[in-house]
Amino acid sequence: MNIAAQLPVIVLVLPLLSAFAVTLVSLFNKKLAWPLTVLTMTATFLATTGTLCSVIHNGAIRYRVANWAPPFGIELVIDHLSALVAVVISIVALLVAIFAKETIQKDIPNRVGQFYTLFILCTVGLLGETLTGDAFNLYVLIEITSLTSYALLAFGGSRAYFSTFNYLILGTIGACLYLLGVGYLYIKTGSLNMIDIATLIPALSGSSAIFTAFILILVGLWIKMAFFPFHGWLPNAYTHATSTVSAFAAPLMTKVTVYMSIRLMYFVFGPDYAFSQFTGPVNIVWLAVIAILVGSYYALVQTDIKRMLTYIIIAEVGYMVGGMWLGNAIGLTGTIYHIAADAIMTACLFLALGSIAYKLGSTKISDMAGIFKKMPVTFCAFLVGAAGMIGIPPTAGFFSKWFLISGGIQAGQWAFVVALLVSSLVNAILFFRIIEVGFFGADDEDEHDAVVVQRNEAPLSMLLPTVTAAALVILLGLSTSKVTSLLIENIVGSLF
Amino acid sequence: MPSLVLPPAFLFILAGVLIPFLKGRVRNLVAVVAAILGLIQVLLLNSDMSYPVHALGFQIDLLRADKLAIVFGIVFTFNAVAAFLYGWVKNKDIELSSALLYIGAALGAVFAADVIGLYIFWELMAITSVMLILARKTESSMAAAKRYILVHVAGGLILLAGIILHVNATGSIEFTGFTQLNTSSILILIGFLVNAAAVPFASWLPDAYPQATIFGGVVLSAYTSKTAIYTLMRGFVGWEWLIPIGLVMAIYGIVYGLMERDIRRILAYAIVNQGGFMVVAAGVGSELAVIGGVTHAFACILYTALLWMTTGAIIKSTGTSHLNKLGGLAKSMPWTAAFTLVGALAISSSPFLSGFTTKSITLAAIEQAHLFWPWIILEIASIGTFLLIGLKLCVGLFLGKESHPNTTEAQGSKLVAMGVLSAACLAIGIYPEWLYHLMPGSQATLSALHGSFSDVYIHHFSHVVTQLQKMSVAALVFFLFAPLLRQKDAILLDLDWLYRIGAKHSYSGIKKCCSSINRNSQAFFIDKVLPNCAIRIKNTPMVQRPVGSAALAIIIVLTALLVL
Amino acid sequence: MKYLGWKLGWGLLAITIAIEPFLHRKSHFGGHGIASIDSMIGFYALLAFFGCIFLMVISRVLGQVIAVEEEYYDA
Repeated sequence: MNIAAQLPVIVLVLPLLSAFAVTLVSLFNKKLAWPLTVLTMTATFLATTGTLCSVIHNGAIRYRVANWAPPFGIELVIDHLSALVAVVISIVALLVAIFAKETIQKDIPNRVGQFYTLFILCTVGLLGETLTGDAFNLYVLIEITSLTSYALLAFGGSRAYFSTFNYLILGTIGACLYLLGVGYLYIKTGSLNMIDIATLIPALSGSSAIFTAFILILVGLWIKMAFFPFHGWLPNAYTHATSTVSAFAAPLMTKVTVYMSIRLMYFVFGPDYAFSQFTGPVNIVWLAVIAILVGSYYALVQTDIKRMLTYIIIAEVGYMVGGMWLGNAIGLTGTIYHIAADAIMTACLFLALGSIAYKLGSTKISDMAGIFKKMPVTFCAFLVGAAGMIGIPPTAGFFSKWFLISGGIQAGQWAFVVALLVSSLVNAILFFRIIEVGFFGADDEDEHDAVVVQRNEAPLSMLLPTVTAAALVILLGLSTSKVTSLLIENIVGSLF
Repeated sequence: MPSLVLPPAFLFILAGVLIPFLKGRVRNLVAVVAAILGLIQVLLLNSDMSYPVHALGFQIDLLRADKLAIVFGIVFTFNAVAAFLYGWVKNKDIELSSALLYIGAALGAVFAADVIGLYIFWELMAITSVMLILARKTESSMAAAKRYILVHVAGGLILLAGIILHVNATGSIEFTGFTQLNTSSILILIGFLVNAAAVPFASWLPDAYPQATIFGGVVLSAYTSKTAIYTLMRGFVGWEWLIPIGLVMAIYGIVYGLMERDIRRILAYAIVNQGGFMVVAAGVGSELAVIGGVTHAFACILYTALLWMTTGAIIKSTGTSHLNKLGGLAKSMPWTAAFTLVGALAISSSPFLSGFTTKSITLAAIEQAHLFWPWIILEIASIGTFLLIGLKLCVGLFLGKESHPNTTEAQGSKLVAMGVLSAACLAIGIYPEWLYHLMPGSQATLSALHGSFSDVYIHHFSHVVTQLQKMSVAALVFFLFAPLLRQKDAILLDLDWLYRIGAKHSYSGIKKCCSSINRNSQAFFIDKVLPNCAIRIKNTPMVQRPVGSAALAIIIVLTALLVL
Repeated sequence: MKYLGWKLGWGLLAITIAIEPFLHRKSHFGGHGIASIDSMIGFYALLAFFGCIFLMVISRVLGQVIAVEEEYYDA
């Protein structure tokens, strides 16, 4: 049995099994839950990386679970896009898993086992969403991810209960809309396999049922990714969660949903169908523009850094949806690249913020005075993430902005270009406030005597993932050309 | 076959990154050594060298060392040596580190062969220079730094938009002269003009530079504005609109400067004023004009830094920067006074100093181009510079009643730095030939420029005479009408009003608008529509309200998409 | 000090104007019309005089309009 050939399913089955293992083990010894989780995540990371290498060398993989042929069996389809996203998911999951040790110990010491189990299950859900090639299977995995994420988010205490409940209702509505859409598709095409459906759609493109399915799926996914005007649930849900959960959910949930919408829009319905339905006054890019502006505007008024970051996420979702609806190769390249870039940058920011919250107990801007002296490494990592959000070269954020702006110019969507520039400016203002307070907030002495402010840096288990994420932001930026040529061009080339 | 050489920027950036890990005087030593090595490296560069990097599907060359770039490289590094000598007693890692990174970024921008490389270093310059303003740690400097970064990020984004448009349209990333008047080149021009402090984008400079630390001010005075002048000299030579812009800058600097009380604000307006000459030179566009602009930039960096150094020393010794509170310092700070005089005479184009042999080339080019009124206006601006710096500043600082009788002279290292720059100003003024040889331009133009002492001071003696005539009249007018200039303490309104007050008003306006939309839609949907749809919703707790409105949004968007 | 300044100023002015006829300065802008006035003797003195007055008056007048109290932006 060739391990390499089985890698795709290993990526899913291994963490699934270890989730159960963690539950069992933590009944006896709580202390083993964390190491087991980290081990699982490392193995998963290796598996996804192996899959990525295999895809680069050999092309897309179609893996049939238990060897049942589609359209009845479930197929895992791993092409360059899913491999990339899967690697990103596993990296972030691994970093957060390492990070989780101290904070979970501090915040929820008596439910450690449950937490790690849910954490691994959620990762499985996300990976599954990425790898599956079956539309209904995708719904199942959406629900798995959502339910585990509701539970994870609710760990945050009393305020989290309300926000999570809010998210639960809206998320379920979204998932139901998606399910309805898949139902229509099944009625019309008779198949649930994505590749299968894709071959059947062109013949049915005039059908109103297919159109309804398209809209339902689109809107359902938009609700789940907090695309304007469905963004209301995100700020509260992510702000009130514990810092570990925010660091896990914020980079991944919305981005994987964006991935899913790319998969469905471009690979199932096809770009010809999708764009032909939206000629005339209705233009999704305009919604994206509003999303960017609204997200940036609300971020400006926040006094709490965590909340501010959640509004920035809303703007970033606007970037990605706008990019994929521009209708040209560069725009889609920008969106795909931004999935990876934004996931890493958001992870970096939330991990750094989590470390600061762990040490300071607060994430308000006004409490950040002089934090550079107390936690220099963490703060510098935060700055790297901030530079990425603003779009300063050579961070990854600059390259995605370059692609998206170029795509906007080529498509003649000037409002989108202006919105991107305005958002960069707003991000610069937002993060500058934090920089200003962090570097120079506290009064200290003149040049001659170096007043020794107590260095109170975060523990190593939190520092390591934070610094790694920051390094990845820059490394991803520096290796942009590799990423585009090896991965993205293969994806985009086949579509345009 | 181009040889692979690391750009000089890397040396400075490396030094800047190392500084926080070192302690004490070693930091200053590293800084000075880095600057000296940088100067040596620049002197050894030639146009065969390159440093290509692959990104974004392009080959980005980070090293293009032609004559124009090398001249700026020389003066940037030389000024850096002097600046770090001046800052010898300073140990704060943030200031030294930021200064090194900032100078490195400026060098990177000057030597970049294409617009992408230029943009990367442009952004780097903005974020490193703001640290020098923040380092002062007063409330007003924090606020000024916020405005500074706002202006520079906005300018950088406009530049980025122009660059991307240009690259999309032409497919080439080469940074060379822009010839077509279209959106992309206008956007790029605006991006450059913001950094050059051209009116109407000038108000950030007098707002931010005086708020920097003493050392920070010395470093800031040279690089951002002159890098922008370099980019104009490369990209927009001969664009006629630059002439009126430069003229306005030159006059604006004097008129506002004459109203000012703070000595470093006066110098900031002087930077804008001098920049105006160079912008006009770029606008005129002939080879002689470019040489004029570049030599002027070379000289200007040196005497401006000198003036910021001396005023910085005065502020340090007396504790105030307010002209009304200072006076008669010639007695207690004789060396500083002497060096200030050198700098002031240099900026005023006095004979034997650098302004005389450099600014005059620009004016000669304008004469050659037969532009009468621009010439008159620049002549007036030039006299105005003497009025502002030579007379108002120097007389106010050094003559008259002693305000601070017991102040100490500036520290040794500061005096050494000032001396170095003064010597350079004198050298350029007395024997400008070596400078002229460095200039870009054809053989014909260069050979027409005469730079030996006899050429300048004997063959063109009339020039000396007319200059002295102008200066003597200006001095007389100053002493006669000095009371005309007295004014009470005030802030001068400028175009930055737009983003200081205007933005606040528009922000609160948007907020009111949004919250009223929110309230009204809430009132309409939640209080009226929903209860009619389902009676139970009225009795459910608060958490249902946001859910309800979100659900409604979903329904609306869904129907809209399905119907349209 | 002040007397020295006055003496220097007037003296320099007198000397430079006196030397001018012997310098044979040509106009830079061609020989005709208003553009040639820069060959006139004492032109630069007049230029400096009117220029300085102009700048100082503009500065004073503009000051009346745009100078506001120091707390203007702090509201």
